[in-house]
Amino acid sequence: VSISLSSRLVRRDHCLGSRVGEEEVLLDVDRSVYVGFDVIGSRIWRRLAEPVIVSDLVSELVEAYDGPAETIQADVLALVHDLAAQGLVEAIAE
Amino acid sequence: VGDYWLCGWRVRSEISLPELAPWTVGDQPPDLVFRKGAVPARLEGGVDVGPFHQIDPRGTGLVRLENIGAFHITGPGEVVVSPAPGVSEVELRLFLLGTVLGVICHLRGLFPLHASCVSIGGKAAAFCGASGAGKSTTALHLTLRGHGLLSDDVTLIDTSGSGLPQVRPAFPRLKLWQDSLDSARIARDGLERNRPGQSKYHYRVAEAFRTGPVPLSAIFLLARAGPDEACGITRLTNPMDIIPALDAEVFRRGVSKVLGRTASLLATEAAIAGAVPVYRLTRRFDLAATGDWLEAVETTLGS
Repeated sequence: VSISLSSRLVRRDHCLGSRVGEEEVLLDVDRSVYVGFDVIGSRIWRRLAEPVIVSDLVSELVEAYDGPAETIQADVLALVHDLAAQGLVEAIAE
Repeated sequence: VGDYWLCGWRVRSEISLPELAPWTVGDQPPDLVFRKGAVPARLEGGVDVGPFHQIDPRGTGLVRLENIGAFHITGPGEVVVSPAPGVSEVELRLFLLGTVLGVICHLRGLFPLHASCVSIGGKAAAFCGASGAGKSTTALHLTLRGHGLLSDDVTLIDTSGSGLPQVRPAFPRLKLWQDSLDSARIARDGLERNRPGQSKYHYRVAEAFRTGPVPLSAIFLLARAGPDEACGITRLTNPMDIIPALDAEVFRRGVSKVLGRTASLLATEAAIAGAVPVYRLTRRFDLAATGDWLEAVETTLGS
């Protein structure tokens, strides 16, 4: 799966979602597995309900958490890569 | 025909249910009727959820057990029972108040947790765990310490309100193996056997049974400590630990799936995980130490 900063991503909709406090827990019904997110991951997952370009997602998080852009970019890319590999998100055309 | 309390409902039954508290208040119509009658061989449009259970996604069920009888759940408010020739009443009741009750819960959108439950100072504490983990024994010992029994084996949780999830007290009877009775020095004389020939007995808790809902204030996942493992009560904080653990303890979970309720089941589990503390209770099966961890449970509920 090739994901870059310019990829436009959105959730695939075969998962059931639930929320406990700030944290999201998904049930992937097809694979019968649970997927959990920490607070920041949950925020990203909620954002992915609508199509979003990865670089925009990074900018929003840099602003929200006032953290080092390079670290946040690397973390976001790692997360979306993992989500794409698990089939939870997909890249869509502009 | 008798009228009884069952999970907050008025149940009218043509089958005698001595383990239930008799209905004592008001003259409202029954919420649930158990009557004897003819039962179909198969459920038209039914889906098999096990070798003996069929569920029609439109909201009915059939449980057919050899040498016991057949139970046709015609909707959330009626069960037609066809007892097998020669079946003992105790066995018939066992399945009526077990599997069949589980199906009714799912049809009514209530969450049946495979747990025993006790009221400690007006707060409900549920105890989950695999068969043999000590659910009923824990409930027995807490009952003997003066707390009120709410349910054995299956705990009905209602999350439809806005506040804490509520436990609907089921009925005041515990199913206990001989060694559990021994651990509490209870003689088995006069106790009814769970099934003919089985060394498991029905112990009815004579004290006043509470019939109204009780706020669910703690869930304990019972675990047995290995030789080098530490004992104690640990609170789980990660929803990823809690939700799958609750899901694994849904009683007759397959029924909910056939009814197309997987999403609402997950939402209920999340609601419980967000509102009710969940603990892992690890202890050794050491009779001398029982008082210590029961006290720790009481302390946990008190705080």
